[in-house]
Amino acid sequence: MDPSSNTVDPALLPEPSFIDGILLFLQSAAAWFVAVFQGQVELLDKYGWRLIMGLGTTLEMVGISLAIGGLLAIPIALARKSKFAPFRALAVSYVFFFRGTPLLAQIFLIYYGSGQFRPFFESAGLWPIFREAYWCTLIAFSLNTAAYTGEILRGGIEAIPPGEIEAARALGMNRWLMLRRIILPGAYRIALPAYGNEIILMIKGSAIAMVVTILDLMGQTKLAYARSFSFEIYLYAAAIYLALTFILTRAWTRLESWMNPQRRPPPQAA
Amino acid sequence: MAPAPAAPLLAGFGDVLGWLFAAVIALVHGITLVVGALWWLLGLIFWPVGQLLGFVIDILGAVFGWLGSVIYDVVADIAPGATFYIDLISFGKGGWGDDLWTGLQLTLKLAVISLSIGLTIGLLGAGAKLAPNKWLNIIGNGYTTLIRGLPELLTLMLIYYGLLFGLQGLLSTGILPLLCDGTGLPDKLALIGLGEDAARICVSTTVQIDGFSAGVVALSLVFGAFSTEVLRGAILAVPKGQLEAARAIGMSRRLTIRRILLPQVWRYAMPGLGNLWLIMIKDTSLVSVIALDELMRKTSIAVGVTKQPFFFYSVACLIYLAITGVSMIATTRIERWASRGVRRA
Repeated sequence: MDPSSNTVDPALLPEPSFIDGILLFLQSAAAWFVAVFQGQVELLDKYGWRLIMGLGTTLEMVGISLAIGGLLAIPIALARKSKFAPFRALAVSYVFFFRGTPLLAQIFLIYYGSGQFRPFFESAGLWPIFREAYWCTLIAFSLNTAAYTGEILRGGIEAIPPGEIEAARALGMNRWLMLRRIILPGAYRIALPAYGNEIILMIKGSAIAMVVTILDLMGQTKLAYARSFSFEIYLYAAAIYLALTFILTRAWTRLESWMNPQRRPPPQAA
Repeated sequence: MAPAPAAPLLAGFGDVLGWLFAAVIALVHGITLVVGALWWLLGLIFWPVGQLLGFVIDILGAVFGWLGSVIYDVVADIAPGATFYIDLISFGKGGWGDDLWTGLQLTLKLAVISLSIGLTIGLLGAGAKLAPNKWLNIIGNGYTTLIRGLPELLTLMLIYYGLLFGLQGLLSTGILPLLCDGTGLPDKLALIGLGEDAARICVSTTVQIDGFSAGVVALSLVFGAFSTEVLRGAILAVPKGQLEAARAIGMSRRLTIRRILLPQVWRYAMPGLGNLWLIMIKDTSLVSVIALDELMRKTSIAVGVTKQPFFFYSVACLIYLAITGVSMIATTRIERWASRGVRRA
């Protein structure tokens, strides 16, 4: 063996012990962690703003469709309770269709399906709307959430104590005033927990918009993944969605207790 | 990366680790074998039933085929334009009916398998959440919070790409061959006749994740999380006095669960579980995103070829509506049956 060489023949080394094995393992694990951390900082620096922008799109779409769906839900719920049978049948079949088919199929039906009737939409001047994936998805979301919200609202209306309606009638309120002052406020209050669930379902369901190339949070995540090939980007998206639902659940509990003062514990007598 | 550092890295505890892995794999292998044998036995017992059903279905098919051709001729007489669309969903040449049918079968298979696994997870989860053990509670709560807060699509992607990247990472960083060498796993698995498979997997370089398995894992996890909550509520809905009464007359814990708890849990949980089943049927459409040829993707393929998007997506919607409609009728029947003998308010 060459004495000037500073390498040792591995055969001469003592057999590594159990402790050596564990130490080496820990050492390489620590090095791995540092490398991973630096890689993550770089990744977030590059794609973090994309995720934030995607979150903005998600919130925007969910907000708009919830607003439109909430407005549409009132006539649906009232039609469902109507004494006129065709209205009832229409509302029931609308709700059955939108609750019985996947949201993905509804988006495809509106976005791709409208292309089959392009001349018609062009003559009606609606083609610029139905050409854009964004508006089609928004229409699908709104119609979908309108069906669910309509059912929730119907449940709320049915749960109003009949005595309240009788009292309103005894006071001489007309139908419209009764609806505005007694039925809807009571129904909203009763339907509040279920409606919170619907908002969360809508936020989660909006991830589907990715499939028709919309760059919402999920779409941006997929894009960033396709560019960087790092799987962790999905974990960050998951964290954002989790945080969103967590914050919403908390806020909703607050809102419920604010809107139902009768459920709060009575103030302590001094 | 050269496999040289394998020796010191795993020198001390490699062998122990190897036996541990081998034991786990042997256990899973044994369970698979037993289940396979049971499945085979079940097939043997129900073979005559299958034959009889097949015969009945053949007869029904002939009758309905004849009826369909008669209706088709009538339609062709009245509205010749409509036959174009009927041809599109026919089962013959140039029709997409058979493709949609195979897609529908895959959708239903996905849903039923995920339902059974998800219900098992749900029962375990409800047990964990109600257990007196703090750690079990934390695990159960973490699981349901995590899965219920994530979009189903994201869960699917996480599992699909997570499995893909995890396994690929194992291969590309050389950890898998390193583990195989260090633990001597193939030699140990050779004892139960799996040596060749293990050796083949140890030298493999690419992984393929099957969309169906990823879909089953994701859908069962989602169904499991939601059914955990439903079952927990149902267990809590059983009046406490009944359990105390059962203990008072000297029933054992197991007998109480079997005679008092489960029949009522089933009754209370049925509406919620029926709802979850409908949600899952709809969620199977998400698996089309990872290129599994279920109903939605078959429809998209048909649209790509025929350029009839509205027609085919409407057909797909109607098929989904049919499934959910039948499921709704079935669940109300089951609910009524489960709560027979209960006075209605």
